[in-house]
Amino acid sequence: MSRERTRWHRIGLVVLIALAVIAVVPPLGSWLMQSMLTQMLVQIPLIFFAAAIWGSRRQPVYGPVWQRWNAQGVPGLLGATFCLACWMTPIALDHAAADPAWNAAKVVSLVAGGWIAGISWRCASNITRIFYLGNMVWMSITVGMLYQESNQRLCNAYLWDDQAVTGQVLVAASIVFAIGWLIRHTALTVRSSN
Amino acid sequence: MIRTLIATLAVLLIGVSALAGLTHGFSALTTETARREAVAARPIEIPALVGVDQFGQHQAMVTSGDTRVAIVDFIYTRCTSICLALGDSYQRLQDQILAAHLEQRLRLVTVSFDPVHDTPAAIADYADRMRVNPAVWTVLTPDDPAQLRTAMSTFGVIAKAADFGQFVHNAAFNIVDRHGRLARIVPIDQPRLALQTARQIDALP
Repeated sequence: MSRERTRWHRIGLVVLIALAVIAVVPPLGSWLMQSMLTQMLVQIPLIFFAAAIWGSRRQPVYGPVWQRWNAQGVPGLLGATFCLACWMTPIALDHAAADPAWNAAKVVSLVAGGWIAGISWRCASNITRIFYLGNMVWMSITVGMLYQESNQRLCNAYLWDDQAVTGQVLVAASIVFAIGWLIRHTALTVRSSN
Repeated sequence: MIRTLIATLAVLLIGVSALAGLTHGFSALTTETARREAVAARPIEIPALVGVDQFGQHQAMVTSGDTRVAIVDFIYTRCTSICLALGDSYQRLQDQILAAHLEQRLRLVTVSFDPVHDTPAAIADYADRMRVNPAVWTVLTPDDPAQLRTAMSTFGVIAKAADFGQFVHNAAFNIVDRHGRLARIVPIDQPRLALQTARQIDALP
């Protein structure tokens, strides 16, 4: 990779981390927490992906100890999946909206989960990656459909139509994310084989 | 390989435990369900709440002299959705309580969470519309906003201002036992269960 590209990657990462920090602290942080849509689909992904990209850029990524305990990044990616699953439940979103201690726990766990996911992603083979990505996309589409279908308001902190829109955007974003990843992955494979 | 397997199992155990803890053993995906279960397991003391009733008289939500089990709900009288359904259920509960001669054992309490609009006159009007029988049913608009806030947080009532001067809020049948404790929370679509539960709570010492 050229030095120029590495430099741009580094700038991109710094910008992403800065955005994630701005999305957590007030005033923007509290504003994003006012709506389910922005908490779930702006704030949470921003924290997770900033931490994940930061983790994946770590050099060197893995030593022999890491290899032995996290071969293929399997436990790491599984942990990150659980972390995201927890923050997709209405009860967790509700707690985070109502209680600053829960919100702090959310930020810490997402940074940790994202960072571990980033490192583990680098260790994983394409099959492992597709497996986890497929699972994640499937999980968020299911959650998104449940949010759209529910006649009940699931979060006391959020309104019913907010919840329905969150469900729609979650499904759409998951599909776009999966397609985007496939296109990028194919492009990188073609480029490296050339 | 074996170490990765151990690590994977450990992560699986921690992850499942975290999810189980969060959802109270995979039984509560929402705050409402979690609260319902917590209250049933351990009744909570409710704070004092004084208000003006449908006759313009000051009255406490729960008075120490009254040993009846109360079914309490929180509404605002301009509501055009959920409170109307709740009002219907309360009317039916009132009829059932009177028909079964349970008015010495059970009572109904409706508290407004919007005292700004729900003046004593609005409350009296609401009571009129609902054909409230004072022997069974008391409608209150709280005097003190601070007291109302404390009561709402104890009962887990959340009301958010929405468009057209309406509120979006949660609602439930809250069963208060004769010791002034919130003993059960019954979902609003189950009025029959609310009555049955109130009678069970009444049978307790």
